[in-house]
Amino acid sequence: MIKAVVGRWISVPKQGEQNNFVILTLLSLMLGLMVLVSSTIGAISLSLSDILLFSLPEFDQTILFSIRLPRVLLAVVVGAALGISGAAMQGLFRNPLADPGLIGITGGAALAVSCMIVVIGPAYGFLGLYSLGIAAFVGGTITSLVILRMSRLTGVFSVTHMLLAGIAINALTFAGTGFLTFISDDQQLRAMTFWTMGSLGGAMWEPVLVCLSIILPSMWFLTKKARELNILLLGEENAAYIGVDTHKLKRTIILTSALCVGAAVAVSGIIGFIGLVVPHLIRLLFGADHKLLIPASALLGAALLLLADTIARTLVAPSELPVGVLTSLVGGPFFLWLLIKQNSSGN
Amino acid sequence: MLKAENLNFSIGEKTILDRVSLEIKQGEIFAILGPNGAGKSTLMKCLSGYEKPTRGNITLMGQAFASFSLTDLAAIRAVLTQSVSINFPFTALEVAAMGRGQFSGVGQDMRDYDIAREAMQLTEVSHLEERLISTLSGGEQQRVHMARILAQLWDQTDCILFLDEPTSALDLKHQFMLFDICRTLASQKNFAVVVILHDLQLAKRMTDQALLLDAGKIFAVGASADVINIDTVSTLYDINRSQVML
Repeated sequence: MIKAVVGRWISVPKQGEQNNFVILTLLSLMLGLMVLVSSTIGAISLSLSDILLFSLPEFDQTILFSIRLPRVLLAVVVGAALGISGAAMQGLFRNPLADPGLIGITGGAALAVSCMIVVIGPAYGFLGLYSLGIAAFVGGTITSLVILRMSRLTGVFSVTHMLLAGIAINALTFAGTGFLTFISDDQQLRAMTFWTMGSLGGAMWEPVLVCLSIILPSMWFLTKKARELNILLLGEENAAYIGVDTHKLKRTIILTSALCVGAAVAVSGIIGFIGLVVPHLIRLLFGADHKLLIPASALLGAALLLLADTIARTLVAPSELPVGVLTSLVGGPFFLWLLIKQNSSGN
Repeated sequence: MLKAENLNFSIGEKTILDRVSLEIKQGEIFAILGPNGAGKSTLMKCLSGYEKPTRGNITLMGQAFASFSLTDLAAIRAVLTQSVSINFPFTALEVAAMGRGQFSGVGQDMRDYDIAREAMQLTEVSHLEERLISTLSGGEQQRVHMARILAQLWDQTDCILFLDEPTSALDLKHQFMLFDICRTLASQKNFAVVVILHDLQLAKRMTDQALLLDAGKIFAVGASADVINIDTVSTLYDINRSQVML
């Protein structure tokens, strides 16, 4: 029964460009609607009709443009970044359960930020919010370069080596972060814990724009490579026979996802589950073609994170929950359910 | 069409291929036979350009392999590997169409799907095109991948096809179907077909030339009907003459 239903869902899109277009348009409309609605919700609620008619009072306008909108758009771009990087990584590993967290990119970013907070503490106040961002970005990029190097130790790129290197690096960064947590004082500990839990608080226009300037080119680039990404799923050897330069493609995927993850982690800390489940969900609904998967994962990731963040900042208002806790709380069980369902439909 | 001279392939100290020379001509079906671990798949990887031999030369159409780009090669040779595992929900048709990968660039040309469908008709998997690849049986998957290989070289002539144990999961009817396709390609499109087989009877009946490989060295090479006989087989596989069935 479930099998039949899932099978019908998956066979819906077939190969039509037109179908892809319809799906993407619908997802965009959904996201647009959510942006509008969540802009009105908050500690002070704004009227939707006033927003649409540009007739907000000046005070409400300030709230909308300096607080609400940056926050909402940050959720959108971070969600999109997580969705894209998840989709790309899963394609690279040829495994639907792979995740940037898995190969240590997130861990590297987190360690760099912890270092920033604890070791170079004074600089934190001086450079402001951006120091965290730069640290996460540099940490994420360094880790992915190290993993890239280690996975080619034998001269040939090997996914197994890369996974093993990822596990080792995850353990190392975890130990490093743990040590830093141990030697940190109360204030540093607070800052670190809050950051690791993931939050979109303190959103400003700059992080939104920086994030966007990284995500849009990445998405465009990966979508352009969609066909090669599909073929890579046949395995490296078979992809090479069809004429795909697998080494180049893998480098491209790693660097683009590292960029996306770095950008996301930088501005929002560690937000789990989006990168793992969103591409999975898209595949289940619309099939595995990367041409649709990459942009659809971006849109759905954006929508889901926006939903989670809206709930996170309104549920216990005027205080707010870290959104990372919320996504994991909802995402974990959902993911389990997905796995079980997939299993029963496979049999 | 494809010529190899004194191929050597070693990993560290271990020699997998030892001075293998061969020539494969257009229009013929060339079998590579031998016991497990004789180096058949490695030889095929060298011949198809995936692995670079440690020593020795391979020329394709009179030119060295290095002078072909990956995309050039993809347009003149296709390879069916032993097994392909796909963890993602692709339909059989999508998998078959992947063979067209590099020809139409970014866009998903409708023509690619038409070709994939025709290829699937040839390998008798048309009725499965909407099914997810992971739900198909081993033999059905093998036929879908065969269709992918055929789609890759569709409308081309003078190509070379490498098949690594293509009949391992096929029933009798589809084994014949496969060799029918190979024979047609060889005679009408001037293809060369290189095939690794374990079924010696099938090899003797269906292939033109055969190379018997033993521990990386050539044991015998020549016309299949001559080379595959009780003497060679019993010695090569180390079995009693009475056990040989040809």
